[in-house]
Amino acid sequence: MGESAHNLLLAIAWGLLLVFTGLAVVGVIALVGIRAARQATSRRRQRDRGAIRSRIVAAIVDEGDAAAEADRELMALRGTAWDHAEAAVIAMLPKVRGDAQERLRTVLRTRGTEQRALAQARSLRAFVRCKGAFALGVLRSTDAVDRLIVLLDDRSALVRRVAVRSLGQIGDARAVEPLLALAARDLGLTRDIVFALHEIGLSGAPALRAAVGSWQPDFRADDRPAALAASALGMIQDVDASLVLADAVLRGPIALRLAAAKALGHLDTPLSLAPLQAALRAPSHQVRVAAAASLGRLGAEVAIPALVDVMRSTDSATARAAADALMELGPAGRAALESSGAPHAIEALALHRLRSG
Amino acid sequence: MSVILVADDDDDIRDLVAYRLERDGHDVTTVANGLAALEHLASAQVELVILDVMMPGMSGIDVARAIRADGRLAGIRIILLTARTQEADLEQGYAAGVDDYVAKPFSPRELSLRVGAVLARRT
Repeated sequence: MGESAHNLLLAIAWGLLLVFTGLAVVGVIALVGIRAARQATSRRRQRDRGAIRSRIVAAIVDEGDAAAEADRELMALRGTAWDHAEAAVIAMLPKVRGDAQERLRTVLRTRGTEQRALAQARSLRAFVRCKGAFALGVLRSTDAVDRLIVLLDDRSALVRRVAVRSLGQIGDARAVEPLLALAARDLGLTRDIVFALHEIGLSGAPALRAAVGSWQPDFRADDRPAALAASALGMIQDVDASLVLADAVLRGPIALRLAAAKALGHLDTPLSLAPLQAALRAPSHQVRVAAAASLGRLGAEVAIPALVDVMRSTDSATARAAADALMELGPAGRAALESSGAPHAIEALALHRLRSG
Repeated sequence: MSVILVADDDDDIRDLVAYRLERDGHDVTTVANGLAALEHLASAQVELVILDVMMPGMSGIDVARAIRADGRLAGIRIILLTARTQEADLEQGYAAGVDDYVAKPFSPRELSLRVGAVLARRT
């Protein structure tokens, strides 16, 4: 190889080195620039989110003209600013009560949140279905009840839980029967279902009464929905349920009798007293204890003879519950305890003296 | 104007409560847990503490008991902000020395009125 060829190769090598060095420098500068731009964008977004969050806090807390101004500002938001605002309103709204709730729901509905949430509730992704179901509950969207009922059968337990809670928030009686049906197949959601039935309140009472009343002895019948319905009737204090509960406390499976005995203790009606007194003689000691406690809670002086009777004659748990119930009945109950001389009466009176110093 | 400390692990609740009380003219500090609340109380003069019940670590009830057990914090008023408003929960709170309760979800207006009433009792 001649000297000229060697020099040429050397020049090419130097050239390539210079080119690669230049490219590396440009690349590093570009990377630094991109990173700086991203950081600036992220800071700006955080600032924007902070500002949007402050507007939402103001919209929720403020009243009068200030609230109206905050609503107008929210309505004017566009693009990603509105996306952040919408998410923040949906997150914050369930945490407060008051005028802001309906005002901001109107803002959300006007901006199409309900339609978006309904579409999300149909998503293939469980997380998105959860988001949609949650938003529909916050919006108290009665149009979404059917969709949320479908989600009670969702393959994701989280989606089912969110759907239960949202149905409770919406408070539509159409949800009662599907919620009770879900209680039979998903024990993990019992608490959520009880809470939802409580939130639905008296509007759901007819469906709950039907669930208690329709229970039939059948070896395949699941007593959980009926028992849960009985408990819910007590929680919502549906006085009109006294007859159906009175029937349930005397016949039916133990879980239903027990729930009915407890529920009757929450119904301030004379119709509760006779079935509860009869339940003091139920075959199950759990039902007897619950009946005694309910009579005490109701302050039923008319039940004093029956309570004194069971305090003397039945098992220890029932006798103690009867003594406690008599103690709750005030002076007349205490007088009955004093004249009884039964061991549990003496114990209850001694405990009372100790507690009252 | 009164100096108020708000302890809640929920950012949204902290911001909503602080905004309302600041708008009412109070000087508000927020913390995210019970331990931070006690640390703040050790170094600052506070007239009223608003405590969430369910916080990680120390609950609001635990913080209330700690405040009542500390003679230096004797004059501090306590309001519990809680979703648990069953009779037994209320009894537990009052036994711990709490002055009042506000149920969650809370009404900002009601909170404002209760804060005013509790502070008025103090003077």
